[in-house]
Amino acid sequence: MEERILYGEAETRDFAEAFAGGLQAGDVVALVGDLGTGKTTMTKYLARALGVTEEITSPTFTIVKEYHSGRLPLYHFDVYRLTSGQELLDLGLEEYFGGDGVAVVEWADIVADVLPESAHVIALAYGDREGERKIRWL
Amino acid sequence: MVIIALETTGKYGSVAVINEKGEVTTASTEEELQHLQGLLPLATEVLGENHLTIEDVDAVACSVGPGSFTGIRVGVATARAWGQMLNIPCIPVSSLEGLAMRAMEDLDRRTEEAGGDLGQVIPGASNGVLIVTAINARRGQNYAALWNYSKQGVQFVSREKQWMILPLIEKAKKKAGAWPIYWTGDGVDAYGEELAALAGEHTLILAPEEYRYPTARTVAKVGWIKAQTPLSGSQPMLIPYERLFPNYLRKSEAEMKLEEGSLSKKIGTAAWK
Repeated sequence: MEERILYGEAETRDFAEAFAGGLQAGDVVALVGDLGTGKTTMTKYLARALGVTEEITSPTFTIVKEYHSGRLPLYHFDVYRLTSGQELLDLGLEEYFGGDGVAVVEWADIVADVLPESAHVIALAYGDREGERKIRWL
Repeated sequence: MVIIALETTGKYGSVAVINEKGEVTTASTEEELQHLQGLLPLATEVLGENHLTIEDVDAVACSVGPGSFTGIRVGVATARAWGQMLNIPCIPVSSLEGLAMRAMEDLDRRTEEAGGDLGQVIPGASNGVLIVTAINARRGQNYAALWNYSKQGVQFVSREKQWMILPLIEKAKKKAGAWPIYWTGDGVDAYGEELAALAGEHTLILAPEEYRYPTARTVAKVGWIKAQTPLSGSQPMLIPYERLFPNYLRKSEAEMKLEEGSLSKKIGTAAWK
């Protein structure tokens, strides 16, 4: 597990660029962190790094949104509304994992038990100063 | 009896009609995951080829799963709607039964080509073959059932349930004994490595692509057979639409947690408290 501090959005963008380079079809990225710590921002930059041209908006109401303009399909999840992994199964949404694209799941801790063990984890938290974020990833 | 059959549990959706003479006409979607949009036009097409309308249909055979959750729901919802509107019974068919029937079609064809003795083309198959119908359930899992194929046709050997791939392979070897194993379903595509290892120890036939995936054609044939036997033990084969339900065969999250490790631990380590 690695850890560092991101000083500003430009570093978030660079981090996402490097991280996205290693992503392949079927991968899942589990984003964890409190409100406002930058999960959607991270998703935005991961999407850009994958070549997605559309604007990334929060899928809070629809739970998942698909983007097909990048080098791989991107499936952006926000499972804040769900209460457990079982709900994700009931909705038939697990079919996105291990499929033909990359699934990025915000609030992944809520549905952790139905995400594949091989999922990449990115955990975010507020840093000591404004604009800073602490990040851990594995 | 005219039966219309739906198969929506796999990547492609299909509709079939079996007429009184037992002849089957089938149509499938050409693109993946187009079940919702494609199904009703396909139904119209297939009925038209038989000079029939939906009102001529006596029963709806529906593949109820296991397979894609969303796909299952599209099929079951459509079958229930037809059952309700036309006041006709539904015939639930397992997607694994459909695959077993499809395996039988392949093996029957090979037997005929071999002049009546399958052993001529598959070493050791003279008495029979063990069929494994296995659908990929992801995360190392399969929805699978085992069958014996012999001159008596296809017989159910091991009931459908969720299996991890390696225990499933062990079970298949045990049940097959000296018989070759015929493996079909999209599990073939998902577990290539494990099956290659099995092939090193046991005569293994992988279903050719055209026989490997669910099709309404065999759902229709199985439905037709079931319709001839209205009662199997205490289980009616034809049921009112209200009793047609999906069969996801999926273990609950709680049951699965006990079997394998989960991502929770990894997240627990990484998350900032």
